[in-house]
Amino acid sequence: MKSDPELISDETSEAPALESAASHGHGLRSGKFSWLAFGIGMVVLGGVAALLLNQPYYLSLGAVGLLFAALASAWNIIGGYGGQFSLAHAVFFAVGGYSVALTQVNWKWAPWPGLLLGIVLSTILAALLAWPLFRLRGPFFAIGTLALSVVVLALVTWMPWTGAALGLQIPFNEQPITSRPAWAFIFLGFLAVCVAVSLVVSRGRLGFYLVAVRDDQEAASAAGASALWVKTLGFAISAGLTGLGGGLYVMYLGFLDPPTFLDAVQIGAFIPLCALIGGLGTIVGPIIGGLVLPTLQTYMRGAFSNLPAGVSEAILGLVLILVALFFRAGIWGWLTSLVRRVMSRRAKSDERANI
Amino acid sequence: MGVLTIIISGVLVGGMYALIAIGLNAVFGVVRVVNFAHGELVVLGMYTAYFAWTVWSVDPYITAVLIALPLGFLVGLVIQRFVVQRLLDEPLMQMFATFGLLMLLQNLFLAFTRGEPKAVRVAASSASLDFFGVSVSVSRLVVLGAAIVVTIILVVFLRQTLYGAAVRAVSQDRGTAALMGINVKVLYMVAFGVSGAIALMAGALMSPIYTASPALGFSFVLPAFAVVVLGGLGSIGGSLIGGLIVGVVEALSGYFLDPALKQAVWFTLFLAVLVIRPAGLFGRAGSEEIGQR
Repeated sequence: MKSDPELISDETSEAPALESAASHGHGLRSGKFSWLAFGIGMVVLGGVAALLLNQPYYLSLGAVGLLFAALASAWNIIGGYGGQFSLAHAVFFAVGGYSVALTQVNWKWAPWPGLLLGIVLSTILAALLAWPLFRLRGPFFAIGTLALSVVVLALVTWMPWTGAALGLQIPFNEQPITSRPAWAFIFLGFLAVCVAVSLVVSRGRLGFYLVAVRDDQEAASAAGASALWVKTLGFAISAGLTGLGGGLYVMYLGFLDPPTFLDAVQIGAFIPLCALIGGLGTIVGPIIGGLVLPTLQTYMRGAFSNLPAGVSEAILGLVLILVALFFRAGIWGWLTSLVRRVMSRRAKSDERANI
Repeated sequence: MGVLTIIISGVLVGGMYALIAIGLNAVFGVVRVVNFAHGELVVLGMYTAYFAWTVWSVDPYITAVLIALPLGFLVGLVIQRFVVQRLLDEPLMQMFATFGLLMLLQNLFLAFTRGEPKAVRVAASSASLDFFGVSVSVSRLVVLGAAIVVTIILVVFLRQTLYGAAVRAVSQDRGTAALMGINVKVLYMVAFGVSGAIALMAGALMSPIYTASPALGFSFVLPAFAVVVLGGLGSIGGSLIGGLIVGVVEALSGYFLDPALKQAVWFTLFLAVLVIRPAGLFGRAGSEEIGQR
């Protein structure tokens, strides 16, 4: 699959842009800098959450935004860096969710071991599915993963032990954390985990391999990167994080029903959308997209409540088309290219001044 | 209920899947674009038939030929010209864009109809024939007939005409075909136009059977993809047979297993075919790789 050079952001453009913004273009590798930026970013987000403590409405908006920011970051590992348009992440989200809910409802487990189980199961499932799924490339992979999520939804709705169409309800007194503000910080922690893993992956060998396989699978394979192995690793890591997110989301909601966790559009496609709108294949992009998109959706639903149902989702669809057409690098890509343009202009005027 | 009844009902449903899939294949097989919004075009055809029926009391079968075909061609043309053409070398962005189109159209339908189901009920809706003691719905037979007719027309066009040869050339190697003097841009627009025309016509033909609702499109597009892949990319005849296979498998598994599982059964079949033979049952091996890079 070929990608537009403009689209490929991270290693080729984002990091240098960050560097030049920070150190005026001295050729310093950005490893330490990105961790510093990561720390500052998380502290800022935590600070904003703390400021909103007395605003339950905005805090709950923020909590959902942080969750989707984390999910988009997790998807971005295989979808953005690896270029694999997975629509099956709803499946891993649901695996995490069901692991927590089933063990808690049936065996009275505490949710924490359930979370761990969800991570393990979704990672293993992804690794097992990787072999058949990655025989498919490009659009076929997307269709295959979409089909997979539909099969799983049908199975889950049919099987009695998953609670079928009704889903599962966790009794209120068995939910360990019911305070809403706490959840904003838990999801922030989850985001930190996802971003940290993304940083490790993208700054390391696996990240370079993923980008290489995305840009030219044959060339990458010829250069010694086993495409299947690289994609499988990326897919499994991404799925494990998504499973953790699903488990946390069940704890947050206190219930689980199949469409909330397995809807092909509202979860399966929505997570990639967040990553796209923020900026594919970058660290910051999915965070921005995840924070912006669910908030925008909720806002529009409220603002257009006197208009017929569907208007806000239709606008979202239109935004998606326009982003794909004219705004491919996403919000973050646009910002970094803006900074780069300003910097190069300043550098040029400096040169002129020196002459 | 005998097995014959089940198989006949499966074949009839399969005819519908085939007709939708043939339209999808015109785009997926030639332009290599995954048009997630194809099911919405079918639903648009249903609403067109409903509109013509309630406002001008036009029979849906007349609408299918006189209104849906030209309108669908136009819609396909517009989608190609303003969305897909700009994204020809961007498979990932194509998927995002057509998914956005799916969301846009589906929710516009929802907003305009306020979610109320729209049903066209004409004499053909309830008419049935007797076929060896099995009652066969006339309206479903029409859809199956349309699928067969469209298949024959397209196969003859692709095999026997110079334009058909150009289409096949472009689907195999866009760059070389352009060097040979084929106007790829126009050809893609025509392919999308034909796809849209078939989709809207299919919708109008199906309007006496199904009740139009916004979410229907999504439930059409997945089987259609399965049929296209099953039958073979770019193989119109393969789509017809693939559609019938999916219809029969769905009917049989609905009867012998559980109606709730019929989708899961043929999706599993579809995934298996995709993995074992990505070119599909009737596609040429390797055809799934062409135009990928």
